[in-house]
Amino acid sequence: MSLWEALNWTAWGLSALMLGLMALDFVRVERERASKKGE
Amino acid sequence: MAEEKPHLSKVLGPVHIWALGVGIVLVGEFMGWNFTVAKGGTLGAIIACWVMGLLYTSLVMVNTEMGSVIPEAGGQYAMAKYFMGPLAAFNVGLMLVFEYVMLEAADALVVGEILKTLSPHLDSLPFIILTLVGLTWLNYRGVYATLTFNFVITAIAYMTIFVLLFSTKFFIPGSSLLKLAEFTDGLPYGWIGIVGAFQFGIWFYLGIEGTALAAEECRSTGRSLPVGALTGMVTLLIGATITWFVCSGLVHSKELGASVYPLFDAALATGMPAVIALLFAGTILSCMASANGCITDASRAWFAMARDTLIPEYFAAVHPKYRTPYRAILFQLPIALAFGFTGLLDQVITFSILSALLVYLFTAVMMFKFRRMYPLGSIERGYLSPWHPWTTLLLLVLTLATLLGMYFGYWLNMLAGFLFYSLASLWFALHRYRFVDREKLISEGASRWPRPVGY
Repeated sequence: MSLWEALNWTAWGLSALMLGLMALDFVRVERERASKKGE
Repeated sequence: MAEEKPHLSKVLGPVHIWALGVGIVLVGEFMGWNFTVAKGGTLGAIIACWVMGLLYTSLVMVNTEMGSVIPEAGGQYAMAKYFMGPLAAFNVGLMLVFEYVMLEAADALVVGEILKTLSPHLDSLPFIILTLVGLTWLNYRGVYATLTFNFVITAIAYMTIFVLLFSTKFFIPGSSLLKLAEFTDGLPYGWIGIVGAFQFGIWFYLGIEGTALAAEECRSTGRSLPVGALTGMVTLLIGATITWFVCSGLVHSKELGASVYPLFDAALATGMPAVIALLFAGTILSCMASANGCITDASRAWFAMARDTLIPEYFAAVHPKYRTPYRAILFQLPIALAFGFTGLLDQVITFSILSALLVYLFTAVMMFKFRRMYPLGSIERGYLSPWHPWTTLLLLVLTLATLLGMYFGYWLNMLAGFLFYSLASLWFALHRYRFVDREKLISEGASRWPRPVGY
């Protein structure tokens, strides 16, 4: 794998990581909100 | 009793407002402005640059006066709801969202395209996505970190223009690299060329009005907004003039008028590897700063519209920990990605510019109404726009002249844009308006100010 290909994959990986982190946090916050509403 | 509205955290100072405004705009120094040279010649380009400087100085003054008394997210949208009513507010809000989301998509596209020039093995797609996702993540995590980051990258990008200027040794007549006498072409198309150049001259400043959208998050709106916006405008006037000067002296007008990256091409003309590398980095950083500021502004407009019930209230939620409008921020990510993947960069940018110009028209009208509804002395203003009504009239006339210049080249796009906003207005008037809580819409202003004159 060349340096450029490695950079491509790094960009994909970082994008997926940040998207994943946001998605996890979003789900957590929405769950908390829903449970508060339920109370 | 009305339910309490969600509010964003008050953490921003003048530096952040400067970073938001200049950050969004600076990319226009690195690309786009140079089409003024193709339309109006080198002299026409600098005339357009300064005339548009007058338009934006007027706009910033008018915006700052109204913004300093409305410490609410949404900027011009918040002004419109108080001074023009729900339908105009809906249109202004929608225009702001499209202006910034489309600019954000275009910025990310350019980052991908620039990086691709490093090697044919480098794909632009993962870097376009990384730019959009990374900056969205930053915005999601908090406005203070977002705009501090924007300040750093904007300052670096701005300084690269000065490095390029001094690398030409313009101050030593015998060794200067600038060839203004050889490379410039004056006014090849006369005065009509200048009008044609206006639509690209706005690239030097387009987006500086976005400072008002973060009014709610300022620690002191009456101080941060005027200081940040006006110093930002001065920064841009200096940067625009230097950009024109250095590019006109290093790149022949024929090449400059068609260049994709004029400042980078000017750096190439110096033949200095360090300067070339710096301007390459400056171009990427300016795109990132612009996209970052656009995400901040578009999400604030969307959030403010939702909070006022003009669109579903679902988007008005504030993150419990980061105090950001997290749903509005995330909602715009797929939209920006979708615009980015159309590949129609010029169409995307034209729609963004048209939306911005329409907001300027509304802003001028709102300023006349604001001064009539709340004459001087009736409420406390953080900043007083000087020479009203002349500055407001100038704003109105120059915006109409720019729209005329745009009409010559993009009349079909303009027609499509007007059709889109007309259909959106119809949807709002016939369907959405019945869900609007009119008390919620103006309750904050009503509790802050006395009854306006004539109401």
